[in-house]
Amino acid sequence: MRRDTGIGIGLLVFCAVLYWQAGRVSAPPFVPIGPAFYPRAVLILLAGLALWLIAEDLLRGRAAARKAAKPAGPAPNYRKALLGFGLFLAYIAGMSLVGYPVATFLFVLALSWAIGPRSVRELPKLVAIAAATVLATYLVFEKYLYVFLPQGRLF
Amino acid sequence: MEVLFTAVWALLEPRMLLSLCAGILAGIVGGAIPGITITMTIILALPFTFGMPSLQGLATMIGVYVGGSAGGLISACLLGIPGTPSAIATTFDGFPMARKGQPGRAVWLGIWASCLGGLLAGIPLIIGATQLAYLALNFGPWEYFSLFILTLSIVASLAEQSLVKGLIASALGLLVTSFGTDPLMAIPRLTFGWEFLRMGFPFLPILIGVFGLSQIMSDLEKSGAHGGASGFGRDADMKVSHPAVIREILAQPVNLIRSTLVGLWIGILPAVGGSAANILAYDQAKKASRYPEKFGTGVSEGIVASESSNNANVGGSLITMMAFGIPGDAVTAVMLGALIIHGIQPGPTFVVSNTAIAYGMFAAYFLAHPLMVILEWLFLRFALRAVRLPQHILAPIVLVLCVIGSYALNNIIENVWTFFIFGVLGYLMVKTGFPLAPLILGVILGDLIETNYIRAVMTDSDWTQFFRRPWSGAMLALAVLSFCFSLRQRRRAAKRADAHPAAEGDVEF
Repeated sequence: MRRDTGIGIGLLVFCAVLYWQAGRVSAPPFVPIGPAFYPRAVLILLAGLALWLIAEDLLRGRAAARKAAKPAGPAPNYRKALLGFGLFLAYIAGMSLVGYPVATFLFVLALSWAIGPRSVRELPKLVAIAAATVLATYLVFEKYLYVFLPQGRLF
Repeated sequence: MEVLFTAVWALLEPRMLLSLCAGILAGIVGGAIPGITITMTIILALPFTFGMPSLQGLATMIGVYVGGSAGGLISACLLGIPGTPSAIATTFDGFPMARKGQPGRAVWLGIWASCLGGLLAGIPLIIGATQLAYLALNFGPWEYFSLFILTLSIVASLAEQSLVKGLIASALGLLVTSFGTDPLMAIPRLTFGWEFLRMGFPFLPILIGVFGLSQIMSDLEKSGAHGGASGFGRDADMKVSHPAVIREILAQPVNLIRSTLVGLWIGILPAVGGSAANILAYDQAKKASRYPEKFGTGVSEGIVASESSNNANVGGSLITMMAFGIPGDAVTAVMLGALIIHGIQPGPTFVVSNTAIAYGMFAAYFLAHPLMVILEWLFLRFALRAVRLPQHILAPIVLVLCVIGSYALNNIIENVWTFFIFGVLGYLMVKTGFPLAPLILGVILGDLIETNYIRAVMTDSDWTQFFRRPWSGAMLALAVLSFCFSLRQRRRAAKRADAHPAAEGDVEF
């Protein structure tokens, strides 16, 4: 299955689920347009557009896909992006557990190590940067701007 | 005029001036660092403005916007890498001029052209925003509904790669506002019984996720691409005769005014942005030149066209935002969010009922330009050093600031989850060729479209009013025209592409 066709089918399923969910909203009587009207109108529009996307993709044909040149420049390093997303997810999840300072220190250190040159000589510099980031943001936001940064269950 | 002078006077207060200068400096540095766009810089500046009075916060943001629009030229001229998409065309002549041994001339031509273009656009900003706001005061819910539909149709039509993908992105944005309580009766909908969805998705974490997280992750994929950039470092000789540079710019008045008008017009169009303005202005300058073949070899006309247009674009974007409450681009979308946080409702009543803040914004725009020149003169060496910051140091710090920006909105961790969810969505959209601007505009306009449609139908159940009322009908006709025009253009482009296949470009943020 081609990519845009897959996206179109996914959107149709998504629209169907939300359309069903929108129908579960209880509308008050004597109101000409209930709260379900707008999401349902948008979902019908979105489903129509998804069909257009599928049709366009199928009509374009395989020959056109083959004809398209590859983008210029180096090949994207998806592993790094995936690693970034993984570490970031762990960071947000961990923040509720260990609190902002510890989670942020570990996240900055882990991400800069993971996407950097990974040299042991670089490590003290990365530790210093992680500590400085925590300290600077803590002082500016918590002490100066009164933004109470997330507390963890452990710390 | 008196209100404007009062506003200028208010901005000269040390606290205000300091915030404006800090914003400009942050904009210059952020704009100069390849990979950090103006949108990203303004997102990072956002949490710092939460605790400030409204005008001080908005002045800081205008400073970031003006500074960022001019900051991108530093790396464009000295590294050959545009610091922001709005400095792409500056690279074409700025870098060759620097390589010819005139890095100072290249950079300062850009800085002075940015200043002059921005100041020239300030006059239409004041007149345009005020007059359009008075015009919009006569609008009823029919006209607002049609205006928002027109805006969405323009933005979706301008999506670079595919019209249907632009429209899908808009519809997704409209759908996002359906989650949580409905805007008129506060009845929860599409919550799946989940408390997290009951209040809906707040706008700013969505914006930060879509533009911030997705961009950083996309940059991680390309890491190493900028690392080996050749060019000039902090040892570059930046000495230049400023009167000579200004004379050189003023010697090309037609180029300066034309590029300013191009930037202004592109800025007024919703969600197009400086990246289109600088390329269009450069193209126009080249077409009008007596020696177009020299463009790309280091001619001053190219730098002046690109830089005056991208700063004039700031003025244009502010016109649309202040007159109608519609963002001219992603940066003004953040400003709209900031206005709401400070309890100010954007829209046509903004200029009329918040005169002090509106004129304060005009004054900040005017003051920001000369201050930008002074700060570039003082801190150019610092900006050159920042340009060389490695990505593995920069990316984690930027992400931490994005998390704080989302969290600080109302100190709840759910906002950070919203930021993450929309960051992933934004990344997937970029990877599959869906534009991000229509999504954000859909999120901004979703509630407004719903509210105005229901108000219109409740006022008069005759739906033909949407077509029969002159302004409303004209705007809906324009929306259809814009859609048909875009369809026709794409068919032509597709035919041309069949004949000469070309590589697909990057999706713009």
